[in-house]
Amino acid sequence: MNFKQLAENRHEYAKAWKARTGGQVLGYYDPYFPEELAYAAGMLPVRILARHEPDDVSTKWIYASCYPVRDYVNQFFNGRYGYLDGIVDTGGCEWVYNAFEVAMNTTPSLKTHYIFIPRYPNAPTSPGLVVSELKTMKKVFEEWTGREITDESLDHAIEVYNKNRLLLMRISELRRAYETPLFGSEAMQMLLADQVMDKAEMNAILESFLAELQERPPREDRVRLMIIGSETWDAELEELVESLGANVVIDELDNGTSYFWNTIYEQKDRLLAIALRYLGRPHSALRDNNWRRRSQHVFELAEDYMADGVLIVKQIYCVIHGTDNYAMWKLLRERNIPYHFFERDTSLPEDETRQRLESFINMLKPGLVRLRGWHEPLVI
Amino acid sequence: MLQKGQLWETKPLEYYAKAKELRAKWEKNAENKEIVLGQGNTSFVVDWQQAFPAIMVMEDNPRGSTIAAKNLPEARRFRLASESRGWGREICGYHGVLWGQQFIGYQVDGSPFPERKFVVPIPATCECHTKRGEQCKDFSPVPRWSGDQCVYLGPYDQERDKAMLDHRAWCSWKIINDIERIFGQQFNDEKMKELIKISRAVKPIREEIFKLMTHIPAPLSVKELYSTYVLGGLVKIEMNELLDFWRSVRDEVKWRTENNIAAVGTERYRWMEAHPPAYYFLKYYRYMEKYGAVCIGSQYTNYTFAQLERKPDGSIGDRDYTFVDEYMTPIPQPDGSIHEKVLYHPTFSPEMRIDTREDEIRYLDGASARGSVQHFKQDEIYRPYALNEFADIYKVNGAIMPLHRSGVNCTLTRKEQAMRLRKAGVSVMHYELNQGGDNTDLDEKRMLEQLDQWMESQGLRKLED
Amino acid sequence: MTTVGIDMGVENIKIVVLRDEKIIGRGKARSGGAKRLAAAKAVYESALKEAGLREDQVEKVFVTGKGKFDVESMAGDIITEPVTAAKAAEFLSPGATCVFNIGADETMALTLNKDARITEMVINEKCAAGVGNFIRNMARRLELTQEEMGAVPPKAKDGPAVSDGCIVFGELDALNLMNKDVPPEEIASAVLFTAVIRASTVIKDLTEPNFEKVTLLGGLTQNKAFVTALKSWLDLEFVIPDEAEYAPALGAALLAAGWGVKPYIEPASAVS
Repeated sequence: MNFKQLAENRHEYAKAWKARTGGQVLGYYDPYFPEELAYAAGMLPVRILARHEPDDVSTKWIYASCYPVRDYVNQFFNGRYGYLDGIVDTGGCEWVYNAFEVAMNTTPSLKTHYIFIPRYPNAPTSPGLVVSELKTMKKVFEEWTGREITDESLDHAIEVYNKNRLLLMRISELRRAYETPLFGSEAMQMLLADQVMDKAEMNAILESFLAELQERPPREDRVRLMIIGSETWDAELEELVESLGANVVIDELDNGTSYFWNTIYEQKDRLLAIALRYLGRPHSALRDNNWRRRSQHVFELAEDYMADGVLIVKQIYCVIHGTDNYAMWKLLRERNIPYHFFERDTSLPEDETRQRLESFINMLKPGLVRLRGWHEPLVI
Repeated sequence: MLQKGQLWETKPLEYYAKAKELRAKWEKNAENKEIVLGQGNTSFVVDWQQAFPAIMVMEDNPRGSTIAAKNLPEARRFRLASESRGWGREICGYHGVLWGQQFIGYQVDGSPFPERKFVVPIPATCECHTKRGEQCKDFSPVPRWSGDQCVYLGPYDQERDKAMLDHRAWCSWKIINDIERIFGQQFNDEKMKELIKISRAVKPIREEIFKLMTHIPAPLSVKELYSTYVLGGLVKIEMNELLDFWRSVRDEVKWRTENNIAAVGTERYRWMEAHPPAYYFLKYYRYMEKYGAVCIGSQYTNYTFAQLERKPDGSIGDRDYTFVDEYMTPIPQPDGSIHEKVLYHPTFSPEMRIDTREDEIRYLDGASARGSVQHFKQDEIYRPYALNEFADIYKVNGAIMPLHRSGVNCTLTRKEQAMRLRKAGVSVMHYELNQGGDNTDLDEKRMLEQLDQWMESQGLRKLED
Repeated sequence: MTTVGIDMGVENIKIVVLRDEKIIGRGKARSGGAKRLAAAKAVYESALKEAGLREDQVEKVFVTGKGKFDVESMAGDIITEPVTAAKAAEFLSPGATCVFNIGADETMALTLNKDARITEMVINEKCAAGVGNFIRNMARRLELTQEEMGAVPPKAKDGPAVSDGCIVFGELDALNLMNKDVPPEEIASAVLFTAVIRASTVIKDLTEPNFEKVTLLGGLTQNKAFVTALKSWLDLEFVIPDEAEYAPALGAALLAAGWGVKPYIEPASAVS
């Protein structure tokens, strides 16, 4: 399956979907957006992702933001997202909010909505608040589409999305194995494609991909890495890691595994069921407040996926991960998990990044031979 | 003796010494071993910590900025201590400076760093506020309670507002009740009611001062304001003392206004700014005075400014707080003007009856979820033209808009604000720096050159050198 | 009246000797690093020689440019760069509505009204500083002369690219391309494209631009490939006067002579 192509052709895909179905395409920035409601209203929710393009536009509108947000603004003014009927922001971070309000203030024809998801998700009042927000958003979507969001359509959306999450989880489970047949780059491209496609269509693709994966011969074992940090928009880093004889077996990125990690448990109050799923998902760094959950989740992933080391990759100007790094470094040090931290911006300087990754991977290799005495010797 | 270009009589401020004294007292309090010291901030409405017998919540902004202003090499060393533990360079410099002291273990004066026993970050839309004090808890496991600064766009929505207020109230209730339980201190509800009463008296006095600031010549320049505006906001002092202090400021400013006593005798150009300045490089205010240019404040210093509005008949008066059921986004009209229905909410209910602890807490959290007192942050989201209104009311010619590389909320929408101001005929200059507590990216020489370029491009030359 | 304008640029010192609105002498040399004052004096002497004048025949000397404070002792007055650029445009390109002044260090965009007064001014942010220096340094790295650098073809659509978000990242990318044996001319095209994007960010930062008559000034007007690429990227026509490189110095000399619209407002008289 060529997920890379699917992710790269996202604009063409959305335009074709629109022409085919006559439906509305809704952009969103952040995985806290409860897509099920948009899907139940017959819309196609697509994640707004960055890409590499010359940018002389965003400086006019925004200063010192991370690259993805600068690029959202750039793409918006260059007409790449001209097909969007609306955009919803969930307050994923303030830079994203800036991109959102630039779009809102400059394009009166664009439908826009802001849904508030608490930054302290674990308060007993948070589910009630999100239900209230979902009720408002439901009304807004009904108005936009002229279509009532019935219990049946919500049930259908929940079913499709739950199936999608289950399939992604099953594929992810295969990454836990030694000699996993799946490379990190392919997994990341799959997730990026998943976030820009109709989930029903994607589910069919994932089912056949799962079958294909189970038939794939095991790959020789490699140094197993985990990536945490700011969101990404391509699999350049994973590819570089693979070119150096290692593999990214798991991530804790907002548009990586955190996108699908938990599911909706159906209950009569559908909106409450949706609210509980989004509040209960692995906390993003911004919403990991008071007693932390993120550190524990990162540790569990590292342990469950037998990561030999962790790459902490932060976007320059990402305040949230800048704050959370202290906790992450502390956790990984305390638990003797090797990690390497670096910042990235527009491009990934190839020589410089290769050098640092090569050093880190080489540092991990000797320990692996010793630790895995029972396993097939590692080919270095 | 008149200086070149002098237009107004001028006189040093008398309240300045008292402001300094109050602030020193606040800093000294942190050393009191009897007090349970926490990190964060209580509330801009009522300083609820005073209703506990021995609790002190200390905000890192004023501490961090003072250190950066007074001792740059140490501030740099503290920030490095934070950065070497994973702290990002793009985080508000106040944090980096203050928490670097915690990591190293001593303060700028060499004394041991007073351990924080809990964290109560004041909720704000700003992400540095959201994550504020997180590392204090990560450093050693102390309780941290944060609430939420709820935001929604569009018209006032009673249902959304209620759910948000309930959430905010629960978060505040939890903080106060948990502090009672964990630290064994009784929260004095009667004292709290008294504090609310005083805060109701302080607010109109402060509002009056910021109204007087619209006068030409400006009775105070922002340089003087920086010594006072945090008193009662970020720097907590005893409420009766606070009331007396603000009364004295009001009286002095009123007298200056009535007698045309200027902060800057050569005032011929009024400029505004936005958000924290380079606290370690405040000399640019005096430098601008060489051109006869006076800074009359910002949404940051005059944070109650939103009380004023331009009336349809052209006069300036108190804002009409009526809820407006209109969408907030400005819509360009065919004639080129901007249609903007202002959605505004009172910060808290002046008439609200306070009987129970819940009443006290609901009073703290305000009458509407997004109408908190932090106008200077939230205005940018609700009212895109807030700065244009400020420029109009305070009669400014220009604006200096810092571009911060750190702190997000200090730069959020800044470039757009500049565009809106320029379109309204207000000349804008940007300068780059890291943040008010971090001098890493401020090129002082370049900044002064930029000021010259900006002033000269508007046809102004220095009156003196 | 005989006046002199000195532009103390980061890369070059440029001097114009002006008599009765005519340039009668000019001089140019590298900025001289730590010895700027001496370098400026040497250029001054050669410019006077070309004009056939002695120093005591010059009535006023005005200085502008980044290094203007280094030669304070020579200056009758020190003028900031936007004012000299606007004055030069008023003289060289009457009716100019917009001025782009792109030099080694600074990129500046000005909007002028019909009285040649500045109505808006935008100067580069730090991330767009040093466009000219970047090109010069990369030429050295690529072992190309400035002339060769100015003659490279436009960047091919699918040709190699370097980061346009940050010049330091751009340089890293360019080194990476060198390691991959990409021909220097192709890398140079990518470098120039990045320089165009950085300059363009400044120009597009103008809130209310008036592109009716755009005048391009500054040292980078001498790099033909850069100018062509900038024109094509912005889809604009430029007026590039013959004296474009000397424009700030000329502006200073014109101001010294009191030519044209008065740039400054007189301060109000003192009252009690």
